[in-house]
Amino acid sequence: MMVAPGLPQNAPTTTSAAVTWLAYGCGLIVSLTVGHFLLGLPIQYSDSFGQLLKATGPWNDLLYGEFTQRAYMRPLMWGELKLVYELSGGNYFAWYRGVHVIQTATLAILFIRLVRPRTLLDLAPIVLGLAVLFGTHTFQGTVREAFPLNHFMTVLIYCLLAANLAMARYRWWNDVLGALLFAISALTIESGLLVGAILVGGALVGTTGISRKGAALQVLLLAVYLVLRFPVFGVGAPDLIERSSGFGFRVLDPPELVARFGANPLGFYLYNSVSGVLSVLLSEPTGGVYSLTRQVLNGNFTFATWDMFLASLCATSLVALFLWRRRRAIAAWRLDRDDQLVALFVVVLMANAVVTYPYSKDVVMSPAGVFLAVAVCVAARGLLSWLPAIPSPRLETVALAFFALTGAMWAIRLTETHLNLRAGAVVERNEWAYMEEDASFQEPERTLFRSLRDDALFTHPAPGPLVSPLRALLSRE
Amino acid sequence: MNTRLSKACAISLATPLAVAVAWLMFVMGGDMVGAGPFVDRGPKNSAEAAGLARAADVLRFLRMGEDPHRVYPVRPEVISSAVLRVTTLEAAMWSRQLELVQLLDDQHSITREDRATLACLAADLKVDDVVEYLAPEGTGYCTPGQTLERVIARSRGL
Repeated sequence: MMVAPGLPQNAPTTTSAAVTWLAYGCGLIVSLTVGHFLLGLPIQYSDSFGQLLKATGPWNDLLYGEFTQRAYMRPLMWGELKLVYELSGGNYFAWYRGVHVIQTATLAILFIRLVRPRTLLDLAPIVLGLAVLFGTHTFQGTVREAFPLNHFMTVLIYCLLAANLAMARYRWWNDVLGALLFAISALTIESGLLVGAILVGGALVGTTGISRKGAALQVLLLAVYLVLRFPVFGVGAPDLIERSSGFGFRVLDPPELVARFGANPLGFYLYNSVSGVLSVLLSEPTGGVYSLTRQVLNGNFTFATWDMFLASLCATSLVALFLWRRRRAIAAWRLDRDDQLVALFVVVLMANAVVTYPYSKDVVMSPAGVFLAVAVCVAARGLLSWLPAIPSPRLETVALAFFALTGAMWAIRLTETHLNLRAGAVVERNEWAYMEEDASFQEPERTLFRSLRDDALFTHPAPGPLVSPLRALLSRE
Repeated sequence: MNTRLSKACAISLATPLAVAVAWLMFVMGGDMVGAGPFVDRGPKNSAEAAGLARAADVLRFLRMGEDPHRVYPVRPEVISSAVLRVTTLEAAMWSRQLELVQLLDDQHSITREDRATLACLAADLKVDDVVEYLAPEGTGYCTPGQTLERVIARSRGL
């Protein structure tokens, strides 16, 4: 038996090794089902082909070129892409999808390591946490976005690594690791800046992994990043013309965005940040579009949209109940490990909302989605341990019904992730069928195109779509 | 201490989630062994693939050596219970997708002789864009309904 540190006062004081292994087993099983469905998805043509083509270029161009362009500064994203490209030896599907599957399993393992199961009873909240982790709409983009190596997924791993580092016992090299992690993550994609928010936020809420000097170093690195990005390299930030974004009840194209907000985009940026927070907490809006509200106004409902909303409402209610129950400890700033994890969720949610200001895109909020899963797991565990204090049989029934509803809603959302992956596999594969080799293709374009097309159509054909009543039920059309 | 309630709530929370994960593992197992009630095994030949508008599968079957001019058996749910024996090219008319017809044309599967017959079939099925593509000069030479009837008659002989 191992002693479990940082427990709430009413929690058991020991952790069975068997419970720990069972929890990791659950994480691996759920992540492997996602991985299996991922392996049915061909490397997509849109975006992926262009990215892989760019990866055939020399290292110097890929890394340094990022400092001389506009809007985005992601040298290590290209570095990671190039590394896998070189290692693959032309076996692109196996390597890129293989890395994706390993990333999914790594995410689950880091999640379990962070929430630390203590008793057999904790397994239920852990499976709920895994369902939120892989079932939330902000996660979908990390497995469905058309990139050979999904850098949003990479950043999720960096964020969970940062949280594990923040929650660890202090060692002097943690500060160095934290600084390295920030540098790598921030130079991979802009969402990577959240690593700094996690490490500084962790220090603020009393975690022990990073010292105050380490937290100060993070702030310094953020300042250096901003100076390099804006005045030194003049990369700047994406403006309205960069991409479409949801607003109100529909998606606006860049020219519409410019026409509407070009003179003063601050209101639009605020809209994106607020929508990002609401999206994580309620699944409404998604991608900046208020679909559920539109359906209510039109009197035209789909089960899928309501399921997303109800599931998120249950999850957010769990976190809200936890915060209410712990309000005195929070007010006195006596935070135990679980309080700190929920506080980290709040920090990541706010910081993520700032990062998403230029446009609304669900996957940009995926770090907050991951920490929602952490907070929900911790909150459900806390609530289960407080239930014995419930005085009324009627409240007992309510509690039982609430947990059953939460489990059912998230079970459906987890299944939806898999169904989407399988449906996407058929669509992407058909897209490859209609792709024609351009007569102007030179080497290495021609070989790359043929290799990816052959992979998608002949070597690794996608399995057939799933025949399930859920498929029709979960359709958003 | 009412730990019974905690256990009951944990079970009510975990049960639907466990059922979902078990179902996904069952599907995963079905994929691996090529069986299972929830997995659509997909088209059995290029005619079925064309009837279902599954372009990727059409190309796969052609790559495996299937002949787009050969008559293949087609399950009733693919086109209709009256159309059970068709060629891949004929089945593509039922997909009603011009892109698929163009894809087959790009694969050099549609000969000059095919073009006239297929245009008549497309005209019988009222797939105007396909008719326009296959016979831009018009289908005045077709006897309305005759080509469709010939394909259906082939299935009656089963």
